[in-house]
Formats: sequence, structure tokens, C-alpha cells
Amino acid sequence: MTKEAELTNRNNLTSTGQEPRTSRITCLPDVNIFTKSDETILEADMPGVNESSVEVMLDNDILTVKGTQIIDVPDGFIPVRGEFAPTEFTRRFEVSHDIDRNRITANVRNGVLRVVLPKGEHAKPKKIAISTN
Amino acid sequence: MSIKDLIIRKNRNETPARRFEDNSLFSFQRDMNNLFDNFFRGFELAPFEGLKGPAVASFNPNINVSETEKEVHISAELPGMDEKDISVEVDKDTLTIKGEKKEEHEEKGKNWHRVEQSYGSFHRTILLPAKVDINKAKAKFKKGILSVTIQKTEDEQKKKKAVEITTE
Repeated sequence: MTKEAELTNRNNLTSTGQEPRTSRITCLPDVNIFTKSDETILEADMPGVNESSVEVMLDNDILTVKGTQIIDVPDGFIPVRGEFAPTEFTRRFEVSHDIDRNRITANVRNGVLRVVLPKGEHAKPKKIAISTN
Repeated sequence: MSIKDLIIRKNRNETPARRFEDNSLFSFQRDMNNLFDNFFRGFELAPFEGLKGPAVASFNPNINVSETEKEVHISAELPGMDEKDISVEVDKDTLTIKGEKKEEHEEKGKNWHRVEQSYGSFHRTILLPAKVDINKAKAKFKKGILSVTIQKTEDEQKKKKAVEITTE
């Protein structure tokens, strides 16, 4: 259904040299992908991402999900120990032909991006009427 | 025994409610996985996918700690959780975050293609950089990130004192 386009986003996404380099680190979000009746659902763990800092883009068959983590640490705090740095989540997937491109929807809740990819009418089984001569 | 379990806990009867706590091999493997993940995260590289088997992928949130002279701030990554499933406890100099990230895999009619998100109960106790006033703690949960701000005790705030420098 939805195959992963690139496992390493490093060569394809960050080496363009167009984006200014920041101290953010790029990482692949953990995803769950499943199909339910007529739709494929992709869920990506992106803690600290909200509606305005997430981006879902479809270019030909490549679906790119991107999210910028915003951590509200008040000013003046000095880090003591850290297990995560401000992260840019990026991952790309190949969308198969049976997905209806125009009906893809996405939402963010509690740091999880959910993309719903419905199956198009063209991909559903159809009964062909038999004509009599 | 997990490396993280070595952190001093005030209440010694409390053991981390991790799924594979009894299996030292699993917890060691998880720590090694975390080590690799963190290492590669820093180099803008993807972690080794193959190392994260579903059996060891119990949920373990990342935690950041920062401080000012008066307060301690803790943030934890808890994607996909609801505030009602999280509990935060503050002791004199420790903070415990407990909770359960529920699995919805039982739902019928789902055909799975990829499962990377981890689930399960977690329990993390961290040592705070200073003694804190347990009555002055604030916690909020937003966008999958838990932030806790706690005021340091008066004594702790007074600890640091600028030393006057005189010239002769």
C-alpha cells in the first residue's frame, strides 16, 4: 500500500543546500501504517509538533511528512541533562496507485500526525455488466 | 538490571513497571538500542531499524532537564498519550513520571503494514539537580510533550552566593 520511499532522508532531503542549517537535528519519526476497510492510515510520532509546524506534501507518488518540534522551555533555563534535542521529523513514502490523491487528509493530536489515504473508486472491484447481442 | 535503574530512588520498594524488567538481557539490549539511537540521532542519521525488534520496543520516554537559580524544568516526549494516562510525582529531589501508552492493536479489521511506535507502561524516576519545594510544582501536557516546572527550596536558592572580589 504505502511503501517507504527512502530509508535515509539524509541524501535526498538535507543535501540540497537550500535550507539554512540550524542546530536542529533531523530524524525519522516512528510510524505505524495499517489499512482499514477502504483506507490506509499512517501515524507518525512527532512529539512537540502542532498544526502549524507540520507539513504533508504529495509530489507525484512521494508523500513527504515533515514536522518541526517546538519545546516550550522558558527563557533562562540552563540544560542539566538531555535525552532529546530540538528535532526536525522528516520521512518519505511512496503512495500506491489505488490511493485517491484528492481525498488525502491529515491531522495532529497529542504529538501524533495521522494521515488518512482513502482508496480511490478506480481501485475498488467493479462488476462488469454482460451485454447480450 | 537496566543502567537507568541505577538512579537513586527514595522509595526502594518501587520498581520500574517496565514490561521486560525481569529479563536482564532485554533491558540491556534496550539500553544498547537507546545508546545507538541517541548516538545516531546526533549525527543526523537514522537509527538501525533492525535492532528494534517488537519484543523490546516497550515505551520509554526521552526526558530533558534544565534549571535556573530558582526553578527546575523537566520536559518529556510522550507522543500519542492523553494527560489522564500520565501521573507525575515529586519528591524532595526526584521526579517520577508514570503512565501507560495504550495499544490499540486489538481493533478488528486492521491490516498492519508497519509497526514502529512503542506501547506499554513506563515508569521513570530521575534525580533532580536540586532539592525542590514539592508544593510548588506545575505540570502541563501539550502537543505530546509534558513540561514540569518546580521551584527549588529556599535553602537551595540561597546556596549560590557571589563572592566579592577586592583589589589591593
